[in-house]
Formats: sequence, structure tokens, C-alpha cells
Amino acid sequence: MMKCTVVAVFVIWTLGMVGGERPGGPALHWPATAALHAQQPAPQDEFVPIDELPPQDQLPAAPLLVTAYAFVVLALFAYLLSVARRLGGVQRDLERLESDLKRNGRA
Amino acid sequence: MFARVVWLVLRKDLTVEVRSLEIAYTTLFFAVSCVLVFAFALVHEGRAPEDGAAGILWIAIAFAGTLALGRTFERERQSETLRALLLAPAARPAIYVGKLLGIVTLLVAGEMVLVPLVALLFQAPLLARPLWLTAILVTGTVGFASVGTLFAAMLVRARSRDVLLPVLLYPITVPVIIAGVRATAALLQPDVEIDILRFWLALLVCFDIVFVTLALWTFEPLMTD
Amino acid sequence: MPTWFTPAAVVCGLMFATSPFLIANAPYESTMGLVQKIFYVHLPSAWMFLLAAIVCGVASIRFLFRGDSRHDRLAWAAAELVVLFGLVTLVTGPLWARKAWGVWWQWDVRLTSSLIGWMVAVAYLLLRQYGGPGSDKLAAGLALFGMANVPFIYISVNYWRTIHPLTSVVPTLPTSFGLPLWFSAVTFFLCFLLLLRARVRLEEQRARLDALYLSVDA
Repeated sequence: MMKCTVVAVFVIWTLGMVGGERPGGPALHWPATAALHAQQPAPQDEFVPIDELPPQDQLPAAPLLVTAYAFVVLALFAYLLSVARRLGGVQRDLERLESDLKRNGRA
Repeated sequence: MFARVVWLVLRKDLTVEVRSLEIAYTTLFFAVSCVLVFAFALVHEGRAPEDGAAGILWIAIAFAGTLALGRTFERERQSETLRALLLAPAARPAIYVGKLLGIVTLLVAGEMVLVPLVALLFQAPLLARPLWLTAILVTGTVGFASVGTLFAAMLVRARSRDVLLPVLLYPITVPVIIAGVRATAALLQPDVEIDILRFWLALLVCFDIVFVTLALWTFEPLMTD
Repeated sequence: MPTWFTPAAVVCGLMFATSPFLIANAPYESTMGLVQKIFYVHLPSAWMFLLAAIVCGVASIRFLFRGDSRHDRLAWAAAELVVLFGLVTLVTGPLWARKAWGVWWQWDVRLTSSLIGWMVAVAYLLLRQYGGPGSDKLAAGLALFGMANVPFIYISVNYWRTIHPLTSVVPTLPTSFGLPLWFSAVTFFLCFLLLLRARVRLEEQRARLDALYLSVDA
């Protein structure tokens, strides 16, 4: 019964949101945010590949690119190390406990 | 039966609270201090920042609400009345709703003091449209308190419960705060756009419905051991 | 560890090693140039961030209503991966944005919702770590609310202007961009599976250790 209520509420809510959005639309944007948006580059719809690029555009990007890739590698590696370390600790505890039990005889 | 349990739990909470008024006074004072801190921090050359009043009001409500939630359930824990409540032959969801209404009553009482204070300190025409403001405050408070009551209840037996409540609560209630602030800010504009107001109010109502329903659904499994 | 683990790890390592060459050979994008190459790690990690969040949410619901601790272990592991991949996304994004948009951060829909979702995952981990006994059920409740919260965050923040590229971009990519992207995506997905399996194994071993301790005291 509860589950039906939840499902019903979600369905009604989704319909309400979807239905309500269409007439609302642009009227809901603040004048201030519209002005802010006008100052920023337009959202991009497609990527266009070109082979040549003027050299002055390349240099400032390199440190950002390198930092990004380095961060990805470091983060993944650090997490892997963390899991491996914790797993090793638990393994050691398990082995120690099992050998203790074997020595003293299981209760 | 459900309504009777809700009323009994609510009456119990209100009776206990009215006798000492401990949570009411301390939470209210904290909220007022919050607003004053913001006033000192943000008011520049005697003038408040634009849109500041809406944000500050809701931040004060959120902070005071967290404090009230923590204290209410701490009181339950200390007298072990929560266990008694759960042992009672009452539907768990009814207990939840009773506690929720108690918290909402407490917070709304605090807001009745906070709103004039914020309106005064930040020169905001908050009281110009009282019906809309009441609707926004009530729906927003119910939304915040619905998640808060559930989390505070389930944290009662956890360790580090004091710091974990805000840690868990704030990310989840961000949409309520956003909607509340936006709605209040829309109300404070010189020419109020009713469409915007209605949109945020509708979002708040949806949030309330969905989260109260979810809380009713999960209160049982979360409160059993 | 299951039999597929080591071969998959080797394959994943090789793919990680070869992906830079594929990415370097991809053509430059016209308006953003070199910095756009961050896209090849930003987008797959964002996908893994979302995938991990879904896995955590579903596992939490199943744990909350069935009580099987296998789901709880999966949920905890997935939550850690949400934090990991979310962090990668939230760092590579601004690094790209600094060049492409001129600012480090913008309070638009996608960024704000991602940040909030990430914070819910961090809250989950804090609860598991410091909540004491019983925090497994509580964390499952938090994950459930976090998941249900997503549409609300999206809608409420959506009415602030967005400058984030639209999702319609990906299907329109020509193959020269698409190939390194999909290669990178598969690499990240393999990495995700491997990390998830390893983390779940940690929980399984912890559970075994606890059971062993309890059997000694009995």
C-alpha cells in the first residue's frame, strides 16, 4: 500500500513537473541572470575538429592539462593503494587470529 | 487511530516543552545571534546586501532547526522515552508524524520572531504579503523538518550524533533551502512575479510530499534493530 | 579474488598505458584547443561517478528492505567510488573550465548538483566511519534520500543559467573524437569494476574477521 502511494506520488509529481515546465519556460529566468548569461560564451552544441592551431593558444593550456591528467592518475593510484593497504591489514589480522585459534583449539 | 497517536505524541511533546521552554528559548536565541552575526558581517556602511534578507532568514532557520532537532531527540534519548515510544502499540509512521508536527510547531514559533527581526535589520518588506510568506515558510519548514526528524531519530543511537546530524542533513535539504530562498527573494522584489513564486512554492510542496512519504516508508526499517 | 580479476587488471593497465597515444592523436577542437583533451578523462569519470551513485542507491534500498549484508557491502564500496570519481570529475572540470570559460567555477545546474551529490556520498562515508554500530542501516537510509533528492536538486538549480555544454554533444562527435573517448570510457569502466570488486572483498574479509572474533568469544 505504501509502495503504491510512493509510486503514485512520483508519477503525479513527474507529470506535474513536466507539464508545469512548458508554460513556465523563459518567463522564469531572472533579468539579472539573463544579463549574466549574455556576458558568458554561448553553450556549445558541437565540436569541430581542426588540425592546425595558432601557437599562442597552446601554451597556457599545457599546465592545466598536465595537472588534470596527473591528478587522475594519482587519485586512482592512491585509492588503489589505500584499498590494498587496508586489505593487507585485514588479511594479516585474519591469519593471526586463525593461527591463534588453531594453536589454542577452537572453542 | 493514526490521527489519535499523532495527536498524543504531539501533545506530549508540546506539554514537555511548554513546561520548561528550554529548547524554545535556546533555539530562538541562537537564531537571533545567527542573524546578528550575518548583520555584522554583511552590512556595509549601514546598508544590507540585496537579496540578503531571504538568504539570511533561511540560514538562520536551518541552523536553528538543526539545533532544535538535536536537542529534542537528545531529550528523548536521556529519558529513554524513544524506546518507550517504539515499544508502544502504535504505528511507527504515526510516531514520526507526531514528532514532525512538534518540530514544525517549534520552528514556526521561532520564525514568528525571526521574520520581523530580519525585516527590521535588513529593511526588507517581508511582512508586505503575509499569506504568501506563511505558505513559503510553512512548506519550507515542513520540508526541512521532515528529513531532519527522520535523520535525528535514526541517529539517536549512533555515535558522534551531534556532528553527524548537520553533516547528513544539509546536503539533502539544499533544494528546500534553495527553493525557500528563491521564493522569499521573489516575494521581496518591488514588482512580484506570481509565476516565479508559484513555481518555487510548487517545488516546495512536491518536496514535502515526496520526502514525508519516503520518511513514512523508511521510518520502520530504520528504527528497528 | 575471482579468476577474472588479474587478467582484467592487466588489460586495464595496458589500456591506461595506450590511451595517451590515442588522445594525443585526436584532432584539436576549434575553440578550446589543447585543453579540451581533458574531456577524455573528465567525461568518463563523470559517467563512473553517476554509475557508482546508482549502484550505491540500488544496493542501499535492497539492504534496507531485505537486510542482506552483501548489498550493504556493495553500497559502501560504491559510495567510496562515488567520492573518488566525483573528486576526479570535480577537479578536472574546473581545470578545463579555467581555460574554456575563464572561471574556475560556476553555480550552474550540473556543477551544483554534482557537488551536492558528491557531498552526500562524503556524508555517507563519514557516517559509516564514525557512526558506530547500526550505522549500516542509517547510511542506507541516507543513500535512499540522496538518490531521491537528485531530481529536486536538478530542477531547483536548473532555473539558474547554465553554461555547461549540453549533453547533445556526445552523439554528434565525429569518430576521430569518439574513438579515444570510448576507449577512455571502457578503460574507466574496467577500472571501476576492478576497484569495486577489490573494495567489496575488503568488506567481505572484515566481515569474516568480525565473525571469527565473535566465535572466539562465544
